[in-house]
Amino acid sequence: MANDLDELRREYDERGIGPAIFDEVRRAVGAVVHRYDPMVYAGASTWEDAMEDVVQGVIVDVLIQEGQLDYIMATAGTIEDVRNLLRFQVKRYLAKGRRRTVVDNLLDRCKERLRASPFRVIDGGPPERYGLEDGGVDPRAPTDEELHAAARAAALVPRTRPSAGDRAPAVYTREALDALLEAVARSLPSGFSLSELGTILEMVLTDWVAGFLYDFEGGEGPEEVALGPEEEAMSAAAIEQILEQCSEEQLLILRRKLEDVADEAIARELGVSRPTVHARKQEVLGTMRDVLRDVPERVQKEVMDRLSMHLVRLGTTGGGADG
Amino acid sequence: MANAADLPDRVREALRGRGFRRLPFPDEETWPAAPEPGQLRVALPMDLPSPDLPPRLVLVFEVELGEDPWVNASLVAEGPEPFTASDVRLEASETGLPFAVVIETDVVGPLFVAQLGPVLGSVEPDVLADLRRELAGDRSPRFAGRRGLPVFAHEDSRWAWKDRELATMHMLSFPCMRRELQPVTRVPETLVLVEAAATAAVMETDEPAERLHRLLRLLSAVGAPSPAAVELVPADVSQARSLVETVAELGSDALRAAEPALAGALRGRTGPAPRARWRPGWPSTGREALERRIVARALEGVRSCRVVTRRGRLARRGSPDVHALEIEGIGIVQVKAEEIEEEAA
Repeated sequence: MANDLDELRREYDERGIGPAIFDEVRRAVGAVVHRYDPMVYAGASTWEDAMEDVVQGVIVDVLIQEGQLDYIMATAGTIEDVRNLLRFQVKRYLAKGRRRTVVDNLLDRCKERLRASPFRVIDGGPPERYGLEDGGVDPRAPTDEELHAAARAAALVPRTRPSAGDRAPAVYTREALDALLEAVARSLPSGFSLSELGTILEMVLTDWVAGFLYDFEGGEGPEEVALGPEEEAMSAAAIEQILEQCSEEQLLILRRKLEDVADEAIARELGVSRPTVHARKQEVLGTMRDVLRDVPERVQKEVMDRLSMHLVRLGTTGGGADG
Repeated sequence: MANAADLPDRVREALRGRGFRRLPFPDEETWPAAPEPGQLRVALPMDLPSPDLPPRLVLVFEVELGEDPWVNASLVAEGPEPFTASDVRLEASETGLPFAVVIETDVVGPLFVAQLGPVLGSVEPDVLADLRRELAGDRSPRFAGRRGLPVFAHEDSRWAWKDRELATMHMLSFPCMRRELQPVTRVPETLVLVEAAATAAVMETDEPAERLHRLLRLLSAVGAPSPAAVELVPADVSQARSLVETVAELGSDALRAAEPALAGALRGRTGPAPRARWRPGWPSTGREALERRIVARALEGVRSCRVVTRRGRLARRGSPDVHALEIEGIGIVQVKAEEIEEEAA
């Protein structure tokens, strides 16, 4: 069925969604999904099996419940605009589902890990709340702001890039996952549930969603090649230099700047003046610039990943109020 | 709901009790388009067609109602998830829209008023004030937990996404930006077209001296930055000839005295008859001549002009009275309509 914009608008005016718009959604789904593995994105062996579910999922979850059909009809000036926007929403639907699957897999790994040192169940719930062994004062649900601060800390932990065909990518090494949980626990001394941890992980994986939606690199792709021995040695030496030359305070400031915390908030946290924060920031950035100047780019990335692991473990009570 | 049986049960169930809020379509004529800070409107590209630049939702922050009315606006993301720390999510209850929006506080640019579609929603002044703080780099506590996470690596996909958004805003705002950078780019001052309806009184007398007197009075009332910016748009060849004869019949002294005021008036450019659409509509009498003149200037790069006409000719729809002339193959030209009193002509 060939539709034109006027026909879609008439149908939208009269009934919201009818056969013409339904047909356009089906067309959009058909155009998008063939690029992706149906097992990975829909849990089905073929797209023929999953098509109807996806079409109805896009319509119900995205177009109706999120109001995105209203957005499309209010902004599209041509039938091509409508189709482009529908394809974008189909990709959003697939990306959110995929991200949820990855997060669920991570939560499965976390469930066991959170029952062993240095973590513990601090409140039996329901829901169960987790925290550090020495934490858990006054267990309560975190505010949205606190969850966001925890996500900013968790985002510093380096991830492995998942391959496109991997149904259950690890995303974090065991060491990295430990670092992430520790960062979250330090950010949320009142504890967190698995659901709240899931919210944090979804926020952290938003960059993957952006890459998927706009077909940028940085999302899924071929496995990254590991560093060779010489590169490993270069990376280790660079890290050692940075940690030797930077004070704990400078590194904490670096961490807070990566978390997008304003200088004023950092100054309050550390009990110093704002100009002092600025000066320390310039010092640590200068040190890193000098150390990394002659280091190849892919080694620089490894250095930053390792440095991030160190930063998230700095003993703090959480980030600034911003965010 | 009619014929719901043609939809799957799951969809019908979701539709039941969830009405669609009918927002105006971007090309719908629900003008006046009087812009105000806080409005959420669709921004159209000035060049048409623009297959690579679809309309985008924007939030108006500032309004400038000078010779070329324009607004300062920030881009609204295509999806409801805030990707970066500069992106702030507003819920439907905060805008009056039936969907959440994400304001990209770091993607801001100027747009001609004529680029804006109907008003779809708006934010309260206190919310707008806090969003202005975000534009300035301050983090407002109101939006805590409603931003994305900061980007700190080039390989982060969001970096490329934000680059693309900046490029989109640049393409949407370039015609207006070029106009506002006038002293730098040497784009001519705002073009002022005086349409035939405004010069009718000039032509009512056969006395050349009186005709000239009325013409000069009209040009003075137009209030252009300089005489060179003013062009008369005769309704037809006959009127054009009459105007030329008016000048030809002047004595040399009168001509020398009148020349500065007539610098641009009789320039007489004309373009091909365009396929064009006015938003909102323009009276049919004299319209074709006006459109041809605008097309001629648009082909030279003019995308904004003032058109002076006789009071009462247009159904006033707001202040400023901004129209958009969409010219096939060229795009939008912003027309700021101004009326002058009959006696000025």
